[in-house]
Parts: sequence; C-alpha cells; structure tokens
Amino acid sequence: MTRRFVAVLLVLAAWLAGTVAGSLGSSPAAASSPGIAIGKAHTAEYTPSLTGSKPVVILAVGSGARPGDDVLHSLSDSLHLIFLNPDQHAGTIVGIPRDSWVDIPGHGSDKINSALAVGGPDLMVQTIEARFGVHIDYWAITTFWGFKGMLDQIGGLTVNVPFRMYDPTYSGVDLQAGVQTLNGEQALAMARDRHSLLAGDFGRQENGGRLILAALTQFQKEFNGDAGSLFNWIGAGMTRINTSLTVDDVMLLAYTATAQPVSKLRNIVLPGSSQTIGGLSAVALNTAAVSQIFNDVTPDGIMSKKNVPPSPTANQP
Amino acid sequence: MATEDKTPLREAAPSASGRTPETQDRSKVARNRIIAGVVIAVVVIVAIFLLTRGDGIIGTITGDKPPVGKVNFHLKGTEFVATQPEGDVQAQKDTAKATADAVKTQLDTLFEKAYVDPGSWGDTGEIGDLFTDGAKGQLKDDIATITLGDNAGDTYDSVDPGKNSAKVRTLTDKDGNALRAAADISFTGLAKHKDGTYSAITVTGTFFFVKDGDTWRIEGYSLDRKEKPAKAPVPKGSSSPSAVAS
Repeated sequence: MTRRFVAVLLVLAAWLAGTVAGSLGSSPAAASSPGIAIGKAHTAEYTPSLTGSKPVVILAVGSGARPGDDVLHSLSDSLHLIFLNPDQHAGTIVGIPRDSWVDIPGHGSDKINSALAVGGPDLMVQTIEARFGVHIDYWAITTFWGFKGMLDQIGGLTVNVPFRMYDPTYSGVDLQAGVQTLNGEQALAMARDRHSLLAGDFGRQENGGRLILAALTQFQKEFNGDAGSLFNWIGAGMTRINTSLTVDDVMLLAYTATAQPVSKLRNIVLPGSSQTIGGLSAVALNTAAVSQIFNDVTPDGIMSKKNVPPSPTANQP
Repeated sequence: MATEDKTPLREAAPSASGRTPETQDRSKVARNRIIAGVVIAVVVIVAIFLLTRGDGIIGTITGDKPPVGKVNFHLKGTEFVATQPEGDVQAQKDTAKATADAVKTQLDTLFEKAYVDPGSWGDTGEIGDLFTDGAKGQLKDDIATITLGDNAGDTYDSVDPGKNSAKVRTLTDKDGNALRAAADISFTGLAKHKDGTYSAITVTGTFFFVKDGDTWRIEGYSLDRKEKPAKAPVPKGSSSPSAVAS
C-alpha cells in the first residue's frame, strides 16, 4: 500500500515537474514566435483600388467661366485626358491644345474648347471621343476660382517650376524656376500662363500636366504621413468640381492614386502648329503624330517611349 | 494458545540482513515516510507555483480566467468634410457626431477582440465582420498589426488596454448623409508576457469606414504597431501610473 502510494506520488510529482519545466521552457521560444517581433515596428496598409488592364480615362477640364457664368457651358481653358492603367500602375496625361481645330458633332468645325460652351460636358466628351477614338469614362470640370480655392484649402501646392515665368499682363504669373510652394493664386497663374511661354498654349497644357503630377506627389506624401488627410483632399476637390464621378468613384480613384508611382505617369501634349483656320487663330494638330499617340495609348493607357512627342517647353529659357 | 503461536508474516519472512526483523521494519517505515514527505513537499511546492502563476492551473481547467479588459476609445474630435458646397451645416454636424459614435463602437470591438481578449487573439474570423469583403481578404497578411499576432498566446499572457483615442472625420453630402468615415486612432496596451516581462504596445494610424446597411465596416487602413519593453504595473492602490515604458 505504501509503495503504491509512493509510486503514485512520484508519478504525480514527475507530471507536475514536467508541466512546470514545459511551461517555463516555452517562454523564451514563444518570445521569438513568427509574426511578433518586440521592438520592431509592424505596418499594415490596405485600401481598395481599381483593377484591370483596361485603362480608366478621365477628362479634366479647366473652364474659362467667370463668376456668374454657366460653368458647364463656357469655353474651356485647359483640357487633359488622364489615362490610368490600374494593373500596371502606369498611365499618361495627354494635354490637348484648347484651340485645336476639330469637328464638333452636329456643330461643324470649330476650336475644341467651344464644344463645352455649345453642348456642355456631354458634347465635349463626344467631340474628343469622335476625334481621337478614345472612350472617356468620367469628366471633371473646375473653374479658376474653384482651382484656386482647392489649392488654398490643401495648404498650397509644392511645384517644381521648370523655368522663370513672368506675365504681368494676362495671367499675372511671376515665378522663379525651382521647387516652391504655390498658393492658389500663384498656381492658377502658372496654369493659365501662355504669354510668357515660347510654345504658347502647347506649353500651358504641359504646365497643366505638371501641376496634376505635383498634386499627385503632394497627395501621396500627405497620405503617407496622415492617411486621414485623404478626406481633406476629397473635400477640397469635390466642393469645387463638377463631375460625373460619384463619391464611390472618387474614393476608389483616390485610394488607387495613393499607390500610383508618379514616375510611371507620362505628361505629353498633342503636337501641332498654330495656324489661321476659318479666319481664326487655331491649332492644326499633327494628324499622323496624334494618330500614333492614340493608337499607342488607348489600349492600355501607357505611352511607349518611342511615341512620346518632344516637350513643347524643351527650349524655354 | 493458537493466536500466540502464530508468527506474524513479516517476522516469518527470511531476513536478508543480519538485522532483526523488528529493526528492518522500523527502518523501512522511516525510509518510506521520508520519501513520501519529500514527494509531498515537491508536489505542494509545484502545486503552489502552478496555482499562483498567471491564470493558474485551476483557472485553466475551470475556464475561470480573469475578466478581459474593456477597450473604450475616447473621441478626441468629430468633424464633417463636405463634398458639396452650401450644405446643411447642422445636419452634417449631427451626422458626424452619430457616425463617430458608431465608428467608436466598431473600434472598441475590434481592439478588444484583436488585442485584449486572449480568446480571440490572432483569430481573423472573430473580427472579419468588422471589415468589408475586400479588406477581409487582406487580414491574414496584416495579422501582426491588425491583431496582437498569430500564435500570440504563445508569447503573451494578457494585454491591459490603456488610454485610447480616435478622431473621426465623416464625408457628408449637402443633406447631411454620411458617405465615408476616417478614424485616426491611437491604441495603447500593456502586455504581460509568459516570461513575466511587460511591453507597451501602441497602434496608430487610420481606419477608413464605409456604411453597409446600418453597419460601418472597415474598407481600408494604414497602421503602425510599435512595441517596447515596459515596467511592471504598480500595484493597485498606488497613485502611480499602471505602467511606464522603460
């Protein structure tokens, strides 16, 4: 009886001792279990984003409307087609000279900027789609004061101004070359200026693309520092833009933009030459080059290097 | 008499030594008592150790664990971000407040399950309903940030939630309908490790919410989790803070 008692006690003691040893021994090993590293920072980021190899195409229009005008039926001052390829995180910004001479469906031939004045965003979209064989998914139109207010609300825009810009008469631009933070008025002047540029409206469209890329750069920088700032940008934009985009679309685009490398977006301007057409000073687009550009960019939104036209401001001192 | 003639079995057994049977018997009994005493002492010491450490073996067996701490995000601010000009400001303010309250509830639930309740540590299934389908698919990859971690139970004993705060911004239309919400959060917790050491855990960043019926679900996030060694909490009754990161 005593031996059995002793045996039972020994077994119990061995089990308990083993349990203790096991539990003591588990701590150091567990401390290095995968997925947890004390002292090491862990980050997690996820936002929904556009998917697919088919490009999303947005027409961005800067309306020349003055306060009191019908913004959606005024001459457009700047025109950009923004192609985004979600899968490849790449895209192209195509500036269209506002004086480009085109057929406006149902309204004969005229400068492209008159399409908005004549038939609003729908006719503008129709005109561009017909002329360039591209499908536009969304349009967004802002005004001088909307653009200015938007940039002031986000606290200004850091831009690398590529050259000295000075036009006290028309746009009022007065900027030295180099990286600087522009307030709304300065950025608007940069966007509007064509008189101080050798390439005139071609140069203006290219600067418009530069401002879009600068905005994307700043947006990403702010998002990475404070993701919640995304709402400030959306609020600043949506209260000042007329658009076919819904809030869901804007959110999805904004989320997608957070991971869009700026370096994988090309900024080009359709080539052409200034001519007098129909008694008006207009732009005759280089038909062959324009065809080549849209044949290249339309399928996937990405522009091949070999088809990139020369920068209109390449020779700007 | 017959009884007197009987020889006790022990006494009748042949003796291996030269000691007398009576002496041998006393010696065995004494030895057994010593062994039993030592074993009992070991058992008692080990039992005391097991019963008093962590949740204790009794707690483990009965499931009678200490109560799980409650997470309570303090709303530092609520604001609306208008998406249309000239809206109803009061309606948008009211919406921002109601949205912030709803989002706070989701945050409380998320961090309680993901960081504080040992029963659901590292279990993305427990928190999946708080996320949209798209975000849910990403949870496994981000488990070490969204939750205390996969197999966290191997490392940690408990996490005591500290001060937690959230600033909630709500996107609104001009009529005061909520379209999206973003919560900038700061979560802190004092983790007790299996080896008896402590660490201070902080999670900061932003959650993006979208309304799904009556529920706000997380559709995106950008989070940082940091952890550094901390001192053991000062016993209750002291006016000192419960833990200080070392």
